[in-house]
Amino acid sequence: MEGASAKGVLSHLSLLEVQARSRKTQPKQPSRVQELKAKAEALTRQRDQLRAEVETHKNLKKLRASMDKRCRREEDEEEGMDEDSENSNLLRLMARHTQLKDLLHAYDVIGGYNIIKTRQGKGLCVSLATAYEGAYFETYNLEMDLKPTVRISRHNVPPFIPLNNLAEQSNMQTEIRTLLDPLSQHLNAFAGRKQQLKLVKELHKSVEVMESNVLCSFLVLMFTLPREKTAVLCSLDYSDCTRCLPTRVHFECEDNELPDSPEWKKHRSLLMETPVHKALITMRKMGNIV
Amino acid sequence: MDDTTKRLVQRLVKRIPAQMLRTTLDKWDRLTGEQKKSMDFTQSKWALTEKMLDLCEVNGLSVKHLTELEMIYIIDNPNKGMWYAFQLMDPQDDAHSVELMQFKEQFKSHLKELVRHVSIKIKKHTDEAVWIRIAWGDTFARPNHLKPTYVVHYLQSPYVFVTSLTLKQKPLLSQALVLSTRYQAIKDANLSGRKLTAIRDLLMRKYQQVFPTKYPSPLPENNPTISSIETFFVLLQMACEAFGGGMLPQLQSAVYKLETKFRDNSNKTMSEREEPFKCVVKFASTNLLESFRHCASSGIASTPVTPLLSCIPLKGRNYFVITDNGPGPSSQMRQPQN
Repeated sequence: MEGASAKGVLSHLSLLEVQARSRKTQPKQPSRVQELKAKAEALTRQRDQLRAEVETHKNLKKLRASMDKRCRREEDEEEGMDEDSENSNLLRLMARHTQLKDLLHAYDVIGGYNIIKTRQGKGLCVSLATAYEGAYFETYNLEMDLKPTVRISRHNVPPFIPLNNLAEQSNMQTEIRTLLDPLSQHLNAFAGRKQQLKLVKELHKSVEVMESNVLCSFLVLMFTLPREKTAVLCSLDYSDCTRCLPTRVHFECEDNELPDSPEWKKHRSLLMETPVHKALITMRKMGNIV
Repeated sequence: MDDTTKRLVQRLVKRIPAQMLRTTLDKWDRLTGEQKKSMDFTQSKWALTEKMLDLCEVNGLSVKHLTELEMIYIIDNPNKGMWYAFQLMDPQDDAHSVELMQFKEQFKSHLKELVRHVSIKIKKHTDEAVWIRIAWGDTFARPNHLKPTYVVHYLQSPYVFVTSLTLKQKPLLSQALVLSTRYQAIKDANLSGRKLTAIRDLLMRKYQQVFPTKYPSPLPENNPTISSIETFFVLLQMACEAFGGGMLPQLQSAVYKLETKFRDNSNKTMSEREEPFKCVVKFASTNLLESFRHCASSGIASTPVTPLLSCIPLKGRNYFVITDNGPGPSSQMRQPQN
């Protein structure tokens, strides 16, 4: 018995000795321990946060799925979360936000054009709106087949817009925007030029439109000079059909010097840079034309 | 006053209805106010002719002026006679910048090179249409003003509308048109009608076309639960998508020339023949497209609308040749199409 207890005591003593020795070296450890403890806490917090995020994300997905389904079925009933807690409202908002973001992204991918599926996904109908100076004009439509190849089956684009050329030059089999973007450019520029011509006829009755064409790609106007009472013939060529501004402005007058005068050189640059109906307002204000 | 002028006056007075004569003479502006007042439009045509002949003599008016009168009348009343549409093919690079002056000069000079004696009058109308009146002569004869050809063209569009053109005159006109518009060929568009406005609106797409909406409707046959009201709207939508909405261009006829093998097992004699069965089917109506649309929307015609009918507005033609290989190529005037 004495041996056992003596062993026990001895081992205890040696343990105490080790402890006393280690206590001496302990002052270096606390910061490390604290560091580690702090790290452990941080990681725990992070883990909890991630768990919460995963949970939210799961709920969001569920809510979003039911929202998407609701949109497809177009029901107005509020399904899903019954709790009226702040949490669920916030969740609903977040789901809606992701839905809108996805919608915007999809819209971006198709270039902002209105596209609807037709014939159970075998076709598309694209609507191209035209606008100029804040006002909307004609909407043009393209009905397209997707199988076996992408091709235009029906449209209401007027024949003086080179649709066939644009289709040939585009890469519409893989990237439909290579057709839609140039087409939209042509159509919008046409709407702009057409509107400018209309405004010239409405706002500037003293200016006579001598020549125009269906594509509105050239315009010949006759100005009357107030003092001399002579006429100046102004030709505007819009050879770039993707633009609303002319590529060439030319004046013709009995007085051969007049087109080269500094004033009329100014008029030329004005007409090259400003829409014609606005340029005419300026020219009339300046008293250069009637 | 020479014979041609006399005959032209007679023809014009005979042709133009009395009420229109007054307005046409006003637009013509070759008679003084008093002279116009002195005309009694309730008189017989014969009496009016005599009066016109007198006035033309007094004012020294010639064929040149009378053709103006004719042109004014025709431009204001284009829906008479038979109009045929042609399509210009393969524009050159500068086709889209051809402007009126250039076109006028080029057309006149090219046609005059081809026909020794020809009288050409070109006038631009307010709706951007370029009207051309051609009185044809030849090496020996002076231009015949009693049988003029009228041509209508919109610059920068590929279509040309023609009335009163003979087979002999066709290649001459085609050549002049192709060269002056800077295209490479011209072909028959296989569209004809009495109303210029109708065939023009069809080709220039100046009528309301209907496209699929955001809410596609299922075919009534596939969905037995659909109500009769819904069926009505579905059929109406289909009919309008095929033929158009609102007022439709007034075509009077559509002709299908069939050269297909006879298919009817109950008639061995016919179906055993080697040659195709030749047959012509003609649809006629005061407003053909409206009739077709009504057939489709009221369920008389089966839906979806058969492409044989819907390709009238789709392709802008009303003459088709159907062979066993499908609708045949349209006839050409210059080069074969690819």
